[in-house]
Amino acid sequence: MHIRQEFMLGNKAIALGLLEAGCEVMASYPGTPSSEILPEFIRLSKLEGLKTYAEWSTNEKVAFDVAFSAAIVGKRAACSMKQVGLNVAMDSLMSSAYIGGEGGFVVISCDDPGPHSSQTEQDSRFVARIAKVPVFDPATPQEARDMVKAAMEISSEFKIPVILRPTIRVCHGREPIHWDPIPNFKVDSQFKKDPNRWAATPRFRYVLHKELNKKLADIQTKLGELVSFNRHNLAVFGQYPLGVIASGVCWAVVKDLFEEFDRGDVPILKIGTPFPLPQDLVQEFLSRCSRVVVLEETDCLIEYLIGERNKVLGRLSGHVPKEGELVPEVILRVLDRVFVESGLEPLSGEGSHAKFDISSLKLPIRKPRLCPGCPHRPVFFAIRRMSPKAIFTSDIGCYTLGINLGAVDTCLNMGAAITLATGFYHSHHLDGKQRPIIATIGDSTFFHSGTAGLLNAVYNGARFVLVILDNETTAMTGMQPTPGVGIKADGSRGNPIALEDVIRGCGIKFLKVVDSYQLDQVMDTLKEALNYSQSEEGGVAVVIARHACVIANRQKAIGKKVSVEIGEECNFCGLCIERFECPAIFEDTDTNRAKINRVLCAGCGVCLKVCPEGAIKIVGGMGE
Amino acid sequence: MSKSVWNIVLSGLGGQGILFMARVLAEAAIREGYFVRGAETHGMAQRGGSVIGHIRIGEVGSSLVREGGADVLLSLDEIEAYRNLNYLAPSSLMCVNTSNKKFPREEVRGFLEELGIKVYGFDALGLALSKGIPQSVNLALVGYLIGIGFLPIRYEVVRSVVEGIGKSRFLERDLELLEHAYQMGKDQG
Repeated sequence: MHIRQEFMLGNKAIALGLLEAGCEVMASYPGTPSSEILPEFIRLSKLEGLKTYAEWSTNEKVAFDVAFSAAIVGKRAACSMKQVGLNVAMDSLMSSAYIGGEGGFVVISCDDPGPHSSQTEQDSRFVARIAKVPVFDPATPQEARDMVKAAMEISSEFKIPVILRPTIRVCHGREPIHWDPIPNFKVDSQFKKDPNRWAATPRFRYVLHKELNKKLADIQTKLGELVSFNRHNLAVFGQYPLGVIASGVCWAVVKDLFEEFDRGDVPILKIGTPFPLPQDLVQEFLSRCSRVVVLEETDCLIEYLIGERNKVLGRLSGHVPKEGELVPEVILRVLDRVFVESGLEPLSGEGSHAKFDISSLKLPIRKPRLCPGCPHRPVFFAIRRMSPKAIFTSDIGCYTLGINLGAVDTCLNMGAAITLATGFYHSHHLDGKQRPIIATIGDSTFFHSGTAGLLNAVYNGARFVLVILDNETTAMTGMQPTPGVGIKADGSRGNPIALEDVIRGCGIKFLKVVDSYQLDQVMDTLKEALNYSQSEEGGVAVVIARHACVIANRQKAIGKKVSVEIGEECNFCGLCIERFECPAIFEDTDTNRAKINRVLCAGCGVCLKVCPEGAIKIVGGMGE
Repeated sequence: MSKSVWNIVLSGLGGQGILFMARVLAEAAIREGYFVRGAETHGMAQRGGSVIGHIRIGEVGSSLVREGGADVLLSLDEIEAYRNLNYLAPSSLMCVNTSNKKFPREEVRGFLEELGIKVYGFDALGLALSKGIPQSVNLALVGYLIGIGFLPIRYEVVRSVVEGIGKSRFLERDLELLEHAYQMGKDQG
């Protein structure tokens, strides 16, 4: 019997696996679907009485380097991030593959097929191939826990970074997980001077590359023997018209569908380590099946690595969708088609289940919106009001939802609000045009990758207004603390870094701080900032719009609630609904007026100044 | 063959408490001796948008319910229930928080009848409001569903789960709400 049990999130099972693997140091930058791994690493360390170090780093590259250095001095370490975060850490990953660590080092990159909460559907397994490091692709939370341990072992044995690539359904799937108390695992830090390795010049890099290729060949053999992760269910002498090769969550779905429809007649090859691909196993499987369909997320790595194009079906043959998540109903459709094409009965068959045309109901689209009481709302409202024709560059975070208020035109990646604004300025300036540009970026995103762009903008003489939306937290990903607040990942106090100091340090001459809730003040300051950015002596003007996130700290954000009501003056111009877009204000079709939803209203009172007719009024305090 | 897997799809809007609802059902099923898998929505979609969760009770390998495979569609919002209609399996059950007297709307009735789907509309928010705890609307809906008696989960087990994880400040009222909703579901079931 195991002592402990929890209905555990996949990300938490990964944290558990890391601790069981002896991981002492961990670093991360939050991003869906990876955000829960680091907090859980800390929680379980405390629960189990393990001495570990964990930090929220300022970005993924920083997290990678901090964790990797622990592996250089012999410890076992890990970093975690979402798939686009791995792009930020790519420089480090590529180089570290050549030199490897002395201890163990696992990079956890969480992919988001769908995508549900990301800019791209990129496949981190391809990054593993580019960097030439092994990658594990778990199917379930329990397997993710087992694989992260195996990944740490491979990493320690071969002195190579190893990637664990869970997809969102593993990260945010739950299952009962059992475990026993975890013994303390400690390796003393020991930096062995070896400049030819740790500071390898190109001449040595060639040698290291050769070593890396040798390691990969050995690892390929080793992975082929890991039967719990890579295995098939071929009968001893069986020949089959069709076989399924499946990796990650797709494997679990196929297995469930075969059980549901009672189909033991088609064999499955489960691939848990897509790179290096266990080719012996694959070739054996191919030799016994007339055709094979490959089901993998999110791109076609295994298909490419197999290289056979006549009998292998998948994305390249057009049998598997090239975009979107491979949810069970999609996999079922793919299987039905290839079963029929292979002369087999389909699993379910078209028409076995009636489908309703949901689009015929014309249901309203419920898109994500800024929360009632969100401090970003008045700032976007003011930006739009003060300069409706400006170009609005923005960034990654809750505030991307400023798009609903017509105050976000671009969202490229972390930090691009500033760099795109810079490029827009120079392009227009080249044509002799002056167009107002207002960039918005969150506090955590600014610390992540704002400074390099801001330094560049100042240095090269760009002109625009930068509004830093400082809600004193990393809200979108689940309220992780920021360097600005100075609370560390484990809740203890670190050293807060004032945004003002950083901004002045970047050479900014115009810096004003406003309270986001004070709409008049925000508008006046924006006007001043716009004027400055366009004046002869001007440059980049920075406005810090500061107010606590209403979800993270309701008490601090709102304090005393006010109760508001919309009076008869309302002529339903729609401004409060379209340009302010508070979820608590809706159109009352009975009275033909805007109305307040009392259940949703946060009582922030910001809307009082929004109505041109003055129809939104206080009707007394709402109390606690 | 007796039933060995129960597939539940939960829907609603971000912030309504779908994660909590899923957690209560899953913990209760585990205490009843079942293996359970769940799938949750985090991140961007949580900010007031359409949200969906999956719970699968029984020996399954993956966490997502397939379209046409749900035994229960449990929805905190009527519109979100319609949006997810195609998850419903033949002879399944749809349980929705709604105060709409004309629920379910005309256009979907033919489909529901054709598949033999049992439909339950329940004003969970109204009941939660009457107890002064509108945020516990999710708990009311769970209580009602358990009362219907379709899932292999006993009321006492759900109650003990809620006692274990409920917010202490409103626990008494939460349990009263749960009981009341359960009785109402039982009268319907």
